[in-house]
Amino acid sequence: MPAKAEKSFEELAVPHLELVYRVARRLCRDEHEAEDLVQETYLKAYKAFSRFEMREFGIKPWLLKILHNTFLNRLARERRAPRVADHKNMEQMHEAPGAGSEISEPPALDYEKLDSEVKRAIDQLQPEFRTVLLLWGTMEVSYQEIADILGVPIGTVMSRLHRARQALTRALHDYAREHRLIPASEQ
Amino acid sequence: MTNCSDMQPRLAVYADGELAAKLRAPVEAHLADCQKCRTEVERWQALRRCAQRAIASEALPPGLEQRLRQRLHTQSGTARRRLIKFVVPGLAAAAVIVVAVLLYLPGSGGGSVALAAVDVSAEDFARIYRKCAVDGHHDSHNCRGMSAQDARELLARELGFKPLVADLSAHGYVLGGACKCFPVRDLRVIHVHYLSQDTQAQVVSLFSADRRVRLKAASPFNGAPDRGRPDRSYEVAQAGQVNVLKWDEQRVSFALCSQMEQEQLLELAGAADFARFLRQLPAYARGPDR
Repeated sequence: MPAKAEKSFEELAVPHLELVYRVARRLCRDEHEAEDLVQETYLKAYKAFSRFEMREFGIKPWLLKILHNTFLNRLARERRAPRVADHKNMEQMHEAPGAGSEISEPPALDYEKLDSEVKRAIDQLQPEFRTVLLLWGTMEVSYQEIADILGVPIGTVMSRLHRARQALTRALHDYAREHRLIPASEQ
Repeated sequence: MTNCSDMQPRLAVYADGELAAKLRAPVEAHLADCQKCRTEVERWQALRRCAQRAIASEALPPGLEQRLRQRLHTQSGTARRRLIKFVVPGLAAAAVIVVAVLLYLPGSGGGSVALAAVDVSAEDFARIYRKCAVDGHHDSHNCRGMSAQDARELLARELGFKPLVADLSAHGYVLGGACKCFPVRDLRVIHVHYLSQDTQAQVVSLFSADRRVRLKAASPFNGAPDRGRPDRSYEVAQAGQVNVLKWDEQRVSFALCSQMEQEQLLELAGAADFARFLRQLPAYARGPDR
């Protein structure tokens, strides 16, 4: 592709470093691990650059995909066991007690005041849901791009995102209730 | 008016601007008449903004871009080296040796100039010691339980150079793990920790830095004459119960960190395979600026 032929890996990829780091930072929940992950991602991307095709989305989703896969590899290594993504089980496991398959109404809450709690709530999500939520939260990739990055159907993205949002909402709602940030009538 | 429950599954997707065009019109028609659903759309949008702010609040660590570019350049040099080896086998051997010495030189930063020394306090080391060795048994390279030799080879494959993994088995310690968690920014280290074989209660951390470290508030320490090594100048500093013993080897520094007595740390620092390691790795033992 012309854009790739004219630009080096560094020119194309390094401008996305901040985005990649931010996603990595919350994925890892540790700044040192995040930096390691980012460096490993970029080195892998660099080595694979000759096989990369720009396509319509550019290099950003490709970098995020490598980040995601590298993160999963690390996770699997840490758990010392082969990791197979069983979406159904994961989603069932993650389902909150009492939550049914029907969509529950999100609790009334002024999210704008709860910035500091969001990170904690994101950190508590299972990695599969955290990844989707982080990519969504960057506001830089579409559902379809998230699906491409994760290698799952767009329906799975929407399903995971729905559950991740619900979990985030619940976590923040609990916080708000504990801190009496919402009226007793709505608790 | 459309029922709110029919709209519910679409509101979050609509809020993200991802609803298919053909589904958008009925949702918008419903929203025009329904305050409750409009509020819900606003709530989902607020949640996303909140997530965006939280994610965006993570500042890029200082120097990360520079470190990354440096590694990419190193990688680029390695790739070129491989190409030379493949295309011109006759010349490759000499070229590879020269490039390898320059690129894999800890403390060189990819060149022949030593990296600038950094100031590190005992507390900086102690923090990683407590977090990664004592509490977390951090082992990002899956080295736990390996022999020092196996761990060294594994790390060499993963890192691109052979880090120091001292064999402390003769002193009653097994490998607990290895990570790259650094005590201060702009200092790259390999942090290997060991557990006492009997109770695993005693934990020792060994830090191999990529440059010289100046240990803050340190005192010279050579211990009992039969334990110290005349060719090394040790320094010690304390952070609470944690002792840090640091010494330099050419252009890099090492530090041992533990709650054990300083004399015991000194004994470990004098372990034979440290010297063997230094002989095996010319980059550590004799830099090009010597």
